[in-house]
Amino acid sequence: MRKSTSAEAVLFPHTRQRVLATLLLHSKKEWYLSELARTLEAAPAHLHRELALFCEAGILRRRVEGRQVYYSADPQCPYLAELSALVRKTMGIDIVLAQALKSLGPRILCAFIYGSIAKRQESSGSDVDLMVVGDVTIADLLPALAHAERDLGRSVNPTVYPRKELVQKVRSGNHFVRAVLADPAKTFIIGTRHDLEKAAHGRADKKAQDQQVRARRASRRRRS
Amino acid sequence: MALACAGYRLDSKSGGHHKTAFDALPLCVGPAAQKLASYFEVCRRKRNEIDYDRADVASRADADEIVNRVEELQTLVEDWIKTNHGSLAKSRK
Repeated sequence: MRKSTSAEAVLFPHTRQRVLATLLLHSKKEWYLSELARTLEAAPAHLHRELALFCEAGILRRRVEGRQVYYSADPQCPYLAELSALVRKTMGIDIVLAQALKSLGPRILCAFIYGSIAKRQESSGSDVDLMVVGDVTIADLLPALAHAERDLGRSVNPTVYPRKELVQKVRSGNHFVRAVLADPAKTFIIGTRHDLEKAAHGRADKKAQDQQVRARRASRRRRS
Repeated sequence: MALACAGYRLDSKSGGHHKTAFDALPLCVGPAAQKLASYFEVCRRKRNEIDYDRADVASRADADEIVNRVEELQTLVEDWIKTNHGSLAKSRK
């Protein structure tokens, strides 16, 4: 595998990038350690060291309330705006897209970044390859993506599949779809790897399936 | 058509003429064309990817959608020509 040469990898180690992106791009939120550890799937001890360094540097601030310690972006930091802009364009691409796609939430089963950015092999001019599975069209995504493109300073190339078409493509052995699904380098924005597997292999959500069965039974009862 | 009626001609030799066409569309036809211009700009990038990188980034749903959008654009441009450049409008028999 090619060694990562992305700008953010040169600037900061991986965990430091994730801490910075999460705290700066949710600038109004205060995080406690275990919550951040759960979100970033990282060891609390490791995060604690990073948070302490950022607080010492004046980029984050720490607030103690009872037995809980909260961390957030420090608005007094004189270069917070510039740092946030850098984070948005490099290490926070997934967070920017998640915020942009939030309004379409229930119509999207899963959305993820694939390609060079997910592999962390992007250059400064790389586009963001985004795959969306759900009941949306490119036109539905356009306002959200236009907003994200402005923030990111990069083009976003969406590939949209309704669930049914994704299942068909997987079953027919479509090369592109199979290659994207098999590639472990994906950054999930909506849903999880498990949701994608379920959608791709035509296994509907259990709750949705139960609801459909109940609706069918009720309709049969009404007819009889 | 819209660009030609507005008095412009795309220079295909200087490159990027497809992008220029979609960028120029709302400037000629007005803000009503902005959404469609942005949509076709995404499609233009997708076509580029299909031609040079990978063919399957377009889905059946994308193909169905673009047919509807093209019809929408055709109606918009024809109406604009009739209103603003009546002498150039094609008379239907």
